[in-house]
Amino acid sequence: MTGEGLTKKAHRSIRTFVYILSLWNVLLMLLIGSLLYFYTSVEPGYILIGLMLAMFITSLIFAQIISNIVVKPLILLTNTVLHLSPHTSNVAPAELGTLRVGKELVHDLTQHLYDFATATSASTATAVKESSLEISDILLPIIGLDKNGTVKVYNPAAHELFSVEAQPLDQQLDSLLDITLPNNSIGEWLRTVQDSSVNAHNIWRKCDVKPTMGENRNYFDIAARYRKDHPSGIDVIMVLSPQDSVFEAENTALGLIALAVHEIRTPLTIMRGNLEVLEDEALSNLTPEMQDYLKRTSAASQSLNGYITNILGVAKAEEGQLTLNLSEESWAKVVTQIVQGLQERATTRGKQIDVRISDGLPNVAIDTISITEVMTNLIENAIKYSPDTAPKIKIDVTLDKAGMVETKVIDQGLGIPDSVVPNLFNKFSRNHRNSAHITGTGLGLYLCKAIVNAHHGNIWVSSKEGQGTTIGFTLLPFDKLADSDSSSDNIIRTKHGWIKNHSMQRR
Amino acid sequence: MEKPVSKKILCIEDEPFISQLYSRALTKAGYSVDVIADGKEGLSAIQTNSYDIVLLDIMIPQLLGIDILYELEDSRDNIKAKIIICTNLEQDEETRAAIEAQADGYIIKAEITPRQLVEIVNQF
Repeated sequence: MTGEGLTKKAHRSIRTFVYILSLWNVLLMLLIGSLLYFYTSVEPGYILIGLMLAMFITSLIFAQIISNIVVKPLILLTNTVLHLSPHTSNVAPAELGTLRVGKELVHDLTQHLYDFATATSASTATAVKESSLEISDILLPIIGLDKNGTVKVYNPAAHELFSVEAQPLDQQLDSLLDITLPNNSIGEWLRTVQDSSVNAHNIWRKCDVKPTMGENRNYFDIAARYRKDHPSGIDVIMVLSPQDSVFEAENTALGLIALAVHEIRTPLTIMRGNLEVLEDEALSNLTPEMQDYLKRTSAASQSLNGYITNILGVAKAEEGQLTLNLSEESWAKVVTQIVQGLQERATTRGKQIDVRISDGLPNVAIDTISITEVMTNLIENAIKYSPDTAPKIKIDVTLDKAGMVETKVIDQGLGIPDSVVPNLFNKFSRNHRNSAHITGTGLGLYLCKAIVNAHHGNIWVSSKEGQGTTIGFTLLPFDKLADSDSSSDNIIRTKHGWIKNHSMQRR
Repeated sequence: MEKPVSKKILCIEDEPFISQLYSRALTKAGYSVDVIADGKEGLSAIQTNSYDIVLLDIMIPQLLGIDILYELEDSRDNIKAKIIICTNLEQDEETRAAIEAQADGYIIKAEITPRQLVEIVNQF
């Protein structure tokens, strides 16, 4: 049926319906009016008023009915358009069975839309076919699959990737290539889009690709386009873009940092060990002034270790290699231990740490090593930025309204200018007013945010220049964690490393 | 906590300043300590099965610490010693998993002092 025909049909349907409703309205009023006039003693004036009121009410009801009749098809047509669009997903196709009026019309319109979408794809394919461009001219691997995931077309670059001598046509893609996508597999994506879409596309970054018949593992960005029941029989086109040079560069960067950290840690190990020997065995022979020098040197070596750990932590976080091993811990116990370890550093700088922990806090899900880095960074900052006139640093641990365990580190120090606060958790962010005389890498808070967010928590800052700063973060109670990782149950992890629970049998 | 003198520790570490620090602290704590700076000699010493605890560095000459663990894989159940990896090198996930399977402990040397090492060894 032509467009003009469909429009006329639509007009006729709606006109007919309105006429029927109007006629019904009039007949009903006449009937009621007649009954009232001939069989009751009600004054004609009152009958008229009553009839007008009744007509008003029935008009409202009919308007609602007509509106539903008009709007419902519009909704179904909108759903059809969204279902066809490659930019929306998970929109189910229109269900025409729910329509009572205009079903044939909406069905015709929907069919026209589907035909249009298919014709557009076909005309694009024809245009490509008729051009002088062939996929063999393209140096990137290109693979075309049918709706079953079978290879129907490929170019020489893709053939090289398959690492097979024979023709790969009509073979399942997963029998040729082992592709590891970030979140799912090609097969799973294909099944999802087949169920819910007519057009779809997706891009996956840094995918691990290995031929099933070969050994070489390479990294690609993969772009895929899906078109349902394409006339060519090729429902999926995939383009693979090599990323080995990028991945190797990133890995090399991390490897260089790890090597540099190793080299710096060796003399640091010697320094810290020798300082401990001197503190244990020679301190009493020194004058108080010399004792202070020794203690400050020891505290500085611990700070240096902290900076090195931060640099390595940031490098790992940026490469997505920050590994967390979450386990159930008493946060009160962990905080107490961390503060005990930092008391000497605080005392050396003339600061005092007060801890207040609410009773009855739930156990938390934490990676003790990385959370210790967070607390150490926050407390070190509080120590650094508190003047001698405001030596108290408070640590408050409570349960917030959302049921998260909230920890606040509060100082009465220099405070942070409003202009600096929005960028505080960015890399290399430092307050330039005091960066000349207060050391730091600008990485500590960036790393804290990465670690806290990885723990499903939030971190925030509240500060007033000249009055002090509060930095708080939240941790998830262990019982809220959906799946606890019990793969390393027999390993006790500490800041220094780990030891196996020696009561377990060795494998 | 005092340990009996009969507990023997083998320290496989090529940096003499570090091995001296560890040896000194552990001897003062009542352990008997031998130090070897070469990976191949260290493997032979472990295989004599006369040590209770082995402190094993990773980056050592002749044979890396991780390779020593691989060499011991088949005979591991016959060796009584608890093996503690002592390193300053960050590991990739694959190596870390291999170490966790074979070793009884893992320490970042820069994170601990000699006294803390004694406390850790006392747990074994």
